[in-house]
Amino acid sequence: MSQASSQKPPSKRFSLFYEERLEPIFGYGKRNPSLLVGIGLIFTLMAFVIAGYLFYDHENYRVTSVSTRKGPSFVEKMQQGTTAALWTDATANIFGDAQLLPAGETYVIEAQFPLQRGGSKAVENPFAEAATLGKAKITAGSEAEVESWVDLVAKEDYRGAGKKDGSGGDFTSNLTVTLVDKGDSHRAEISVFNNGPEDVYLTKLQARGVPLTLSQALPFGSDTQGRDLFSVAIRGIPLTLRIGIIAGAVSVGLGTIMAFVAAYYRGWPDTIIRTVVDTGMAIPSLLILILVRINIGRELSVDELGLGIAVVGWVFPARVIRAQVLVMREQAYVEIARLSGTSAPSIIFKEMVPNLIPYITAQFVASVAGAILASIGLEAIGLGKLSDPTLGMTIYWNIQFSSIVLGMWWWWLPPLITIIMVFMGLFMISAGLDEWSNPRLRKRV
Amino acid sequence: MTTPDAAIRTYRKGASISDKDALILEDFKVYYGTPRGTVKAVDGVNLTLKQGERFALVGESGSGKSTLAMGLMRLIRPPGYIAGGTVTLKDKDLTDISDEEMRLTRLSEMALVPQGAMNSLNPVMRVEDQISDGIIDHLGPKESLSKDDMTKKILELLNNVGLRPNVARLFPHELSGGMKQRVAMAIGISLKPSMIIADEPTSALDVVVQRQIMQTLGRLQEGLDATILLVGHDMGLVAQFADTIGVMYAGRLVEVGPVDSVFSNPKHPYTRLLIDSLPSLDEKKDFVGIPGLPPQLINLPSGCAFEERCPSRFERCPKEIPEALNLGDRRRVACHLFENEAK
Amino acid sequence: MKRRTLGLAQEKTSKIEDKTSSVSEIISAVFRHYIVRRLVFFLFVIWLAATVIFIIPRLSGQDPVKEKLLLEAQRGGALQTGLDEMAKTYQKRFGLDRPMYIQYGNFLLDLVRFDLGTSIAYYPRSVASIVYDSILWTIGLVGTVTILAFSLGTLAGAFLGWPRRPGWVQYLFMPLLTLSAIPQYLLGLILIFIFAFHLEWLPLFGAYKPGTVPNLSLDFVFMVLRHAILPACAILLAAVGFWAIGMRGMMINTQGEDFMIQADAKGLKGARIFLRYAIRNALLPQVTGVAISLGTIITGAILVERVFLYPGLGDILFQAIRLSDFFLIRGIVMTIVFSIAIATLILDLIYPLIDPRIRTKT
Repeated sequence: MSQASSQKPPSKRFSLFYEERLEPIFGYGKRNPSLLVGIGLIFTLMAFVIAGYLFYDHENYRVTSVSTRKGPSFVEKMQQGTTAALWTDATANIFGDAQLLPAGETYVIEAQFPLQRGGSKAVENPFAEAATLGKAKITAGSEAEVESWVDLVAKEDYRGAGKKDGSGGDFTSNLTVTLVDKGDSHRAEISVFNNGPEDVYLTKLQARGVPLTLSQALPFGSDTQGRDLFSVAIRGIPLTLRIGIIAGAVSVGLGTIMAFVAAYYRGWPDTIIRTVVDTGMAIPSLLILILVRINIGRELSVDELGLGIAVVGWVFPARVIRAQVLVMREQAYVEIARLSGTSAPSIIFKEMVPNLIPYITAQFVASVAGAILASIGLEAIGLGKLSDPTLGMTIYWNIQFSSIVLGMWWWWLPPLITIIMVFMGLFMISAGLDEWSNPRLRKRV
Repeated sequence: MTTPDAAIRTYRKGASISDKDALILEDFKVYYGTPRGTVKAVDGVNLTLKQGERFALVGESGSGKSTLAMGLMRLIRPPGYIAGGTVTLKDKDLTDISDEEMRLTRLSEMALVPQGAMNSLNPVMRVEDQISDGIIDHLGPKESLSKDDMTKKILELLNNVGLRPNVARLFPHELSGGMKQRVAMAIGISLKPSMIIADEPTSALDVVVQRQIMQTLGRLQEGLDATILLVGHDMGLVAQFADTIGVMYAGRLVEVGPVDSVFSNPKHPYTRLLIDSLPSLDEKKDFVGIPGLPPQLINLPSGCAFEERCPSRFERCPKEIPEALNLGDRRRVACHLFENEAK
Repeated sequence: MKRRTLGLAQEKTSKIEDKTSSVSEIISAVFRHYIVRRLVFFLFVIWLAATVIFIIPRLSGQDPVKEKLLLEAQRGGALQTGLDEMAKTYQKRFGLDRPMYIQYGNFLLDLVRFDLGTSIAYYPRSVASIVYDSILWTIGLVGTVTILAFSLGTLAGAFLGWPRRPGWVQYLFMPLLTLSAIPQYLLGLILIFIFAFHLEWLPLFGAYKPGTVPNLSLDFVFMVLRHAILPACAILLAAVGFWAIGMRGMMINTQGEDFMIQADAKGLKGARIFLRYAIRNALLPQVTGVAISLGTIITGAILVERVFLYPGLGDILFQAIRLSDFFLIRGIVMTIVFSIAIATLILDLIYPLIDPRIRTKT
């Protein structure tokens, strides 16, 4: 055939190629529009991610906060009239720590001065109303754009803890300041000045991001910890998809191997594998994963999660593929191959697997969907890596910080839409593949 | 399968074929609408069956014989549809009546006996229930049947097809292939239809059982004085059972005639090749087949459909579709070769 | 005389021989019986799950109690000196200092007695009592809703798959398809936002208003029902779609079967074909599907409980995870596995009732 076609003129060759190879594919697509819709959905997501990677500064997906070297909470006595500072450069300072505060974002300076350390006696607030406890100064940019002492007022945002009449406990003063984008430099200096009448204890000094709604600088807004949600989306979607693909590929691969070993060789390998598969399906995999994760103790990276899900999840494709192999095994062409002395692996790979490819592909898509579902489930409970911006972890943070109640729709809506798109897309792809992969429909010649 | 030579005989003993028309097909067409084009599964079939006649419809796979049988009962599912023609069963045009009327006609006047050995029985119902539900659904609005009467009727039917009474309580998977076929026949005769369509009733059975089933079928037919339309591809079986044989090829009827005369003197080249291809018990010779493949029903040629494989073709064949020619003695052929013999 | 006794003696020996060989026959005959196989499988699953749950923590080499103590210590701000002593006492109390196989044996014995140990976080409450309190809520919500979703979904699916359905049913297909693709807890979040937050028609979370004492008064019952509507809807909507799509697929498959054509050929009434021929046969794989998807249903329900802060098993599990209460987690997981296994067993026992082919198959 190829000889004949190579002698034809190029235009004829192409039309032959089109007829034989491409047209069936286009025809299939036309008959099964859901396949195209599904691919389109996934494609849109990927396009979004790629565009974001190329054109957007997506570094700010981590929680933005700057605190002292000792951590956000500590105990440090500040004498009256002294200054404590949170530096971002290396000048000697008990608090200093070099970190970056991305510009163009808004921060909350939190300085905490407890009224009382220990004990339960009620103490009057020694600071009169509107007394200035201290001042905070922020210097950002090489050209000190914002440099001013701002009052930390005791009354402002006073939060009494412990007693009903407000006495006793700690109080925190919060102050919101916006760092204006001014070129490359992103350092900030935050100083606190004890302006009160007495020595106080400083127990917290940090600057952290705030939840903001959509803006030009933050297309998806920010969450309660100041993360740029657009970056989170750009970074997180590929991570979640990666879990799905790794878990899907490994579980289908492992499942296929097990299915063939069981169905082709029968005997006791079949009994063992079949028992394992049946048991594996009876015990919910999520629970096993929870247990494993708890006992491993540490957080699981994206790849580890993928492998873990695959290790528990291979039983599902295995059961289904095994049934198929059992049927195929009895068919005439396998019998012939066996009788003509072909070795078993050769039969498996040359005769059976090619016929199973459509079916395995369908299983793969289903596995990916299931894996993503499982990963989101695990992460939503809080068992993923806290610093990974995957879709599941985003849901987790949403639940943790009650974003719905706080009305922060920009936080939960994008991941919701993304998840819907992912699942709808995968579902439509698998529905579209049904004609190709469903063994029952293979009556066509 | 006995050889056709040995099967030359006159009409079966005691056969009473009346003069009345049982079934008349006029230009009957069943097409399938596919994205690639229209498949003409049955393309203009004309046929008349007399009451009491045993008619066998033969042809290779894809010739349209099963589709024709299904089409008669309006059991064609989309994308198939009845594209034209009429089916007249005792003065009633089946293509013209409502769905509900057709439903009532089925089983009571025209019954289908399928390949029971296959999946034709509902696996979750007992035999007695599957026999009785057909009866119940055909009762008139005022009619009813007491439980005792029904049981009596069921046992009577089972006895008629040669099954023991205990079969009634069994499920289909507990029956052998032959037993399932008999149950299917029992269902088929339960309302005493005047016409029975048997679609390859013995294909999946061994030879001994085949004979028994066909004998039972024949006995039932004679008891009911019904017309039988037998669809199949086993020529030997046909030769022993049928009165008249019709050969289909590519959706068209190419030859019709009394079984003995067609077998001893096949006219149409296709029929001739078919009969020649039957192995003989008397002689030892090489197998003879029919070279080539049947045409794709989507793309029927403009002339005779058999022309490509026909050893006797001439210039006229690819140009004109041969019409059915009446050759007398109840024989019809659709072939240009017999132009001169037409009456 | 002699002859006769000889004859009898011979008979006796042969009878004994028959008996010994038939013991193995009896065992294999018994085993071939469907019910016995299912029971054995049930016990096997429980045992395997228990073993796995037992082994997993041991594999990592960590001592669960010690870890917990360290965590508590960190939170409380205490120093770590007395910790080893405390750990030792704990270990003795929970029997963790004995050799592995004794621990294993004790564990299994306790399980048989339904003793799931004592909770660490809620000491001295027993795990069993905590589980018991919360499982009622879960069964009430998840159990009823799942049954409802299955019935509605299967019915809808049956109609969707039947070519002679009433016209309007067709329009259900797309929404059901969409719903089945969305994970349950997400649906929960959406519902919360629309109905609880935005429209304020229904309460935001919990099974009853925080602070009220559970009682059997009519008021309380109403409050519970009101609180249950949203989580019930979340589970219901997601599950209904799944069952409907499945049943529809089964119906379509069944219609290709030969007996369906035959049913038409028999001239049976449409309703009869629909019920006795189509649904009856399509139901079989659908019920099998229930058994297979039980695991997914349960895990989905757990997450929904998490989203709605519903005080069922899921919520307790989450708390236990957060508090690193090892024994409680273990107990909950065992309970869930046990419930699923029992449900599967019940389904397996129902199956022969609806599929006569299984009844006689050995």
